[in-house]
Amino acid sequence: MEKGKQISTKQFVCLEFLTSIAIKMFMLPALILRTVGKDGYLVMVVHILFEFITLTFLLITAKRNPDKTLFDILRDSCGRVLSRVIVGVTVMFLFVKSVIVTGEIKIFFNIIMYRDINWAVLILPLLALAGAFAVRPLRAMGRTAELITPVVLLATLVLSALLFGELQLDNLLPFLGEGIQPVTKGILTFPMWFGDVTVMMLFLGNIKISKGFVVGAYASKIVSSLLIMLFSVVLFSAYANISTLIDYGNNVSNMTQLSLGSQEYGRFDLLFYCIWLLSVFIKFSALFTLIVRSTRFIVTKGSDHLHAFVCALALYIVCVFVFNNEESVFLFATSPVKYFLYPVVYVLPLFLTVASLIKYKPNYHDLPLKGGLKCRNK
Amino acid sequence: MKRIQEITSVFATPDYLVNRNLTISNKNGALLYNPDMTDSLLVSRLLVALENCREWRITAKKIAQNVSSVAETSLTCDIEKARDSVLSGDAIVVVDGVEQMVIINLRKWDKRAIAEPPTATVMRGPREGFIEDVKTNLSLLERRLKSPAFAIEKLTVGRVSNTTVAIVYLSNIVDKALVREVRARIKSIDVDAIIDSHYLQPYLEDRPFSLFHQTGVTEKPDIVASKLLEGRVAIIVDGSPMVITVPFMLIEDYQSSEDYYERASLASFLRIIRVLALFFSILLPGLYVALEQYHYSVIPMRFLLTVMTAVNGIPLSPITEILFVILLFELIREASVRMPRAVGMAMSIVGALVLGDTAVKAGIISSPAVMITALSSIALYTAPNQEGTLTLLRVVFTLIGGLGGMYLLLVGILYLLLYLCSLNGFGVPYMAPFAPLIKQDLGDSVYRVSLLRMDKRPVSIKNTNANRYGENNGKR
Amino acid sequence: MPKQMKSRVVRLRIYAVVVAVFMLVLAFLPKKAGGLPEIENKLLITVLGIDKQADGYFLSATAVMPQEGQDGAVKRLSIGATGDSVSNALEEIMIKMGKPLELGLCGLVIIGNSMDGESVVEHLNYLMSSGKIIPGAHLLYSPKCSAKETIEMSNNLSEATSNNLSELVEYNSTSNNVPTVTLIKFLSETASKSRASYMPCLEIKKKEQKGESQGGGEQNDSQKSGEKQGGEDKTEIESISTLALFKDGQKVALFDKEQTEGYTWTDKLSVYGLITLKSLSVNGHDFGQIYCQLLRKKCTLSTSLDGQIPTAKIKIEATLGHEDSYKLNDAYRYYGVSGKEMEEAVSNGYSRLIVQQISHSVESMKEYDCDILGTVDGMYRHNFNEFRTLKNTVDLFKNTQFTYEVIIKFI
Repeated sequence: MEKGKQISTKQFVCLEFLTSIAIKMFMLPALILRTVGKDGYLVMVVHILFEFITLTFLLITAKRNPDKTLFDILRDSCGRVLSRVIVGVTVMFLFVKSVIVTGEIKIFFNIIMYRDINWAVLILPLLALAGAFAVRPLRAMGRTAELITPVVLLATLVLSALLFGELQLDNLLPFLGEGIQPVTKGILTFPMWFGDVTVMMLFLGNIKISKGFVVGAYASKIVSSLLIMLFSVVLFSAYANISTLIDYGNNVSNMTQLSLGSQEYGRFDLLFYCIWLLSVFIKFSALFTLIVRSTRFIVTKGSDHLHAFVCALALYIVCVFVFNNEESVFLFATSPVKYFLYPVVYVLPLFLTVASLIKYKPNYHDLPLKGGLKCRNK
Repeated sequence: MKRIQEITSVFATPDYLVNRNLTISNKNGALLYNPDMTDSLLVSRLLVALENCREWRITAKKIAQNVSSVAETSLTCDIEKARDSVLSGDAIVVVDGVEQMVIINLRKWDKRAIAEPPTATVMRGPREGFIEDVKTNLSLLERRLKSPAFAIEKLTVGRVSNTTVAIVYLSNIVDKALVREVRARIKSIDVDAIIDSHYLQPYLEDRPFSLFHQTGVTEKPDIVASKLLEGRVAIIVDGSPMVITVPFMLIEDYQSSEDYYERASLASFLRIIRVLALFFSILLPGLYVALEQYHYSVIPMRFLLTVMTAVNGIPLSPITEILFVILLFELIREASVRMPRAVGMAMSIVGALVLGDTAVKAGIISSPAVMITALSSIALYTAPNQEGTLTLLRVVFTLIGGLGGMYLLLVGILYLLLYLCSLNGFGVPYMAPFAPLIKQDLGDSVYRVSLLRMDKRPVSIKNTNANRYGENNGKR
Repeated sequence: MPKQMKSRVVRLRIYAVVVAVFMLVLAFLPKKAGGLPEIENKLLITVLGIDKQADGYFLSATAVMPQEGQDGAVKRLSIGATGDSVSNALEEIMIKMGKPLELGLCGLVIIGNSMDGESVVEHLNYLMSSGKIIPGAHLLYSPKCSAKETIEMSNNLSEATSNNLSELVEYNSTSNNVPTVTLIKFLSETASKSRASYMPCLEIKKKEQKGESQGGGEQNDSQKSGEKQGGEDKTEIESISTLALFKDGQKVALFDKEQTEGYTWTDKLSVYGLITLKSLSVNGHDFGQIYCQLLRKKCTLSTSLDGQIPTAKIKIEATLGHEDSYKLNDAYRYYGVSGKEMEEAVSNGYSRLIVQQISHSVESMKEYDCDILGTVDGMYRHNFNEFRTLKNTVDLFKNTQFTYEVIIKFI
């Protein structure tokens, strides 16, 4: 626990909103549409429902023992060796997620804005930014998120308003026209793009729990999920008959361009997308911070700066030399590796909740009840 | 006399001091003072008073009583203290056989008249400004806060300058821990001289190397009085008209004293304009370069063609062009500050009109570049205290916008926000009340609520008395 | 200096060095962040045209560029090149002009009459999937000439704007005159179960201007020899009120104005325009032509496959505003016809007109077996269970029985 440098409930809600809407807008819809067809939105619904389940576990753990971090719980319940192994697997999962997120950023700028992005050079500022987040207290990330959330929310709402007119729900019919098999295949193929709650484990033990913590968390998740579904449904309905024409990245922005109608007004919607992209940067920074803290837990020697540098170097090598195009990212993320890594998303939050239930006594914060009574501190 | 010799022995040239031998009640005595820093009229009166001092058993106390009609007196046995008094403009009376020395305040030197400060002109509200004399400055505050809780702690800082530094606060409002911290930081200063209040800033800031100042600076006593009422501490330095206030939040640079002398709606509108100006000043040139160079699909077709016409034939790339125009602006600005008034007008015309207009006509720079840079430069001055910081940031964002487009601009903006959010001053977040969000303080941030509703002191700054108004305030 | 301060100073120096090195690398890299040429070195394309030739495809385009010294005026340049394919032709244009093309601002694609007999889907698929043309770009068909000629003539239409054709099409997208179609809509409808779509037809003709004679009837030698004096060849739009029908991406028929009007009633986006009732007679009194403005329109197409019998119902709810309300006043004043009677008569008149137009259009569609209404697709989507039991869907559209309902409201 970082004493005096925790994030507030409001900041946690903001971070949750930003990390939820971050990816799933560019690569994922195109991939799902190609693989599953127009019923692909069901894949998203299923995975988002799973995310609500993991969120519940996380909230139970956070509220019951607000002073225990992810690493505290693992160390206290599994011992030094096993906890390091679990964290190691988590780091691998986070690495793959980070690669997917950097891929999203690259695609966005490659297709929407630049013709040919020199990613080997331009990823460096992104890693530097993530490193800056990682070496600072979580409070700084929370405050930054609190500051940009209203702007990102406003930009996303404007984009949603532009897209709403392009919604053609009829094109999604017939419901499960090709059967349940493509949807099942999609659910099993794309889990690596989901599991956003995992990154929120970074904040366990560092949240100042206050009134509205649970309600705020769920509300944030619901709003972000609705926005994602709107974006996806608009895309799927527009390209339902021509899913083979879909490409990575540009599709949702093509839809806003379509609704804007005229070239005379310019693509001002791209500026709103840029504001939305801040959420992707925050998510990437949160992932990176968790990676750095996890490596710090595994290898206790060395300063935060050194760990951040090493992790950034590793991520640079992976993003630039190993997975240097979108296809390789997709192939890796959908390979059988996912079966090994993805359980982190569901098993770890559940494990943390069970471990804290067994290991610790509840330590609810004193919250005033009606009538001036305080809740019991067992 | 021996003690006089002890006092003056360390002076490089003690001859400039006046050492006058006296006879006080049939005892040998001496008067030592610096004629450059004392009032000659008071010296004459002092001499008369000393002459008339005829006591059977003369003591320092009796001497002090006799001369008290001339000026304030105090007694000391300490040679160091006596020396410091002489250096500060006091006179010392030493009498053989009397252990204590009498210090008489005969200080007088020319000082500037109280006038409207050039850095904070207003259309409504008080126009008094601080001057270089700490005593006058304190009196300006004391006139506004006539309360026994008004506390002044004087410290001396600087081995050579021995500058008086006054820590001022309201004891019934301020958090005592803040006062202790300020006092400790000032006491830790061990330098030769404090010439201006700015010399104290690095010691008062948590991050002295930061681009952003973390202490408030103002020349107006009404602003300082308002800040003291919010639970802040003010530091007044003798010889400097700029008073420092701590803790400091970024939003303070976008608030003007006039905001509280106008209606809330107008004040809110002006504050919003200032905040928008902040974005224009930093981001406009960088955004222009990024859009023109990389993302022209964002620009509407007709405007794009206008820009294309304007930049057609310009030999410089957009980023070089904007940087060149910024350089021109900064040269003109710096020269206009330093040049003699006699040639100021003519050179301004040469700089602005000839350089700017001719360069556009010659096809070296384009008119959109001049317009963007001019707008950005004007926007800088809505927050004069931030002018230097924003100028540097403007150049940085132009560079990153030109080299990496929107992508690097976004990374830069996020990094800047992260940096600002991680700054704290005396435990107060720099970006309060936005990050962390403090709803109660939002009523006096980007917008201002009516004075009738500002009944609580800001929560961002710890204080011991949250209520500004009484229970029956405004009730008829 | 205390140790903490010293390490901070060292760290700041490292940051400064790293940032400076990064800036230098970025500034002096042979290929910068984007490697893009500056905007003034690119050709902004606003209109693209596709024609078929013996040796491949001819791609024509309108490039806009600023006119020097004209304070914001633009000039439009007609450019083009031949290639084995559309992508090859685009490349040839770039080679020919020596500048890269900026297609992101292209809002109009014209298909020339030389493409008749061939499916345009492949070419349009390429343009959209490659990201070269935005999905919202409008499509036009040129029935009487090639796309190249249409583009050349359209460039002479007006100097007022940089994008006159696109503006013209965008105006018509909400007008009840003729429906417009975007690239994504065309491809989506072609790939649907109905396999049919349409494109509005644009016809432009040259308007020759005669030279001036020199007073007194006398003609000088140059005039006698027939030489023109003064005046350039100007162009005018002859028609943009008909549709070309496409099935599986190939043009199968042309709708005339009436048929187009009938189809336009079913287009959800065409909601404004003037509607004329040719003749109105009430209580034996003839009031001649009645004009109304269409203010709002709601159109629904519902399909059914009950008992494997395909039926479709087209329901139109239109809100009209009187253009010549003086006739209502005259009717009451001079002929004793009340406002209510008049309105009822006008409403019935328009209902009949609309039903007649739509049914005429539908019969024509059946004749050409081109289901641009999307009836079969509707049955597939809304009556899926029955649809999949059908053995033969080829003549499904032809066998569909249509009913019509029109509700007219006045304000």
